[in-house]
Amino acid sequence: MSGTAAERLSRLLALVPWLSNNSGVSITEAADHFGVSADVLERDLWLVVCCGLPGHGPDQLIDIQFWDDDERINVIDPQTLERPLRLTMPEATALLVGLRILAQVPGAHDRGALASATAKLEAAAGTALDASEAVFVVASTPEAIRLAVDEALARGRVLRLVYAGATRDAITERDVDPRGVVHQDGFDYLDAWCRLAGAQRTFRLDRVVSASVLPDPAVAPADLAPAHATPSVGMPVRLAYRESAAWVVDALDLEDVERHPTGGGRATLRVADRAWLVRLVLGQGGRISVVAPEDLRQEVAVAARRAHERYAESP
Amino acid sequence: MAEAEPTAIAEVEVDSGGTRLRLRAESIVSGVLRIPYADEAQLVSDVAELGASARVIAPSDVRDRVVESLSAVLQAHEGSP
Repeated sequence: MSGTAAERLSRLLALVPWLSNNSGVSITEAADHFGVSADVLERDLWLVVCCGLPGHGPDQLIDIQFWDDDERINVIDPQTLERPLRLTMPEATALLVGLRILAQVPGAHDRGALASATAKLEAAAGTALDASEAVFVVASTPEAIRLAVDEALARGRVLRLVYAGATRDAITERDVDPRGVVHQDGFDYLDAWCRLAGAQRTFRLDRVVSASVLPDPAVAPADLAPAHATPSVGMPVRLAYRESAAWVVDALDLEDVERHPTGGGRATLRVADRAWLVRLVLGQGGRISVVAPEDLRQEVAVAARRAHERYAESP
Repeated sequence: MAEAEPTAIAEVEVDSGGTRLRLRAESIVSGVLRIPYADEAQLVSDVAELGASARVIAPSDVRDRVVESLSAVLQAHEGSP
């Protein structure tokens, strides 16, 4: 196995400079260095020699010889990849800030390598360092939660979460098989198979009340889609709002906003959880209502009627 | 902005959910939460959004406002949008 495409790309980018500095190594030695089999490394080399600079003629391709009987690898023409990487000040600053953010994102990434890369960049960045220190990277995930998630991902263990969900106004305890962490819009989200829901779920880590690593091995289904931190493709719901509820335009990520002279209007909200929307509308006393889809409009009406009847039953 | 000091107490029966209300309750006895509050409109909204899972027992004016609020939701969702 050569791992994921991202792992392979990372290895390929590191391969040519390393081989340039270690010309004459054997395929087995190079494979050991990168932690892959000799077959995988040989496939990488066949791919690398098909890469090069624009033009892609014979003179622009990376030239590495590795097919002789002695299995030695000799870099003939690395096509600039042997040169040290040069960053502009803005690039170095952006990279430093990115590294600092990544260091705070939970996950099984190599924190030693992150710290080392950060230190080297800080040392090399010169005046760019001043700019990067002017940017404060604030962690959204509490340290104890981050450590538990790190451990569960690194050891492949089940996590027990006590989670304060935003959509159902309830605290639940659930065991999840963690798959990874995605960072979006300033928040970290755990992508996991939730054993309570029996489905893939994302958990915003600043809403995790506590997390503990269980001894059970994590076994998430292999065919799950990559997680998306926010539901960019939720069900579109057309809402009507009165002037007294015009705050929704700023508070929620609304689309197709149609403002009326009265101060109210209509807008579309993409909703991942119907129950959340029903609760939102129930709490607004008619200031926000569902226009479409009709079945959701009826769902709100039924919920309001049942609640109303409860008062009629118990005056 | 600092939250105003509670000036009254409501008794709310909650069957399930209602974490926000439970966190604010000074006591919970047999499913009835005693909730200190200052902002009546906010309390009405918090109870109404729980639908049939919650019911205000007292005071009666808060109870009436929740009923009115639910009636308004129902009215807004009956007939053509």
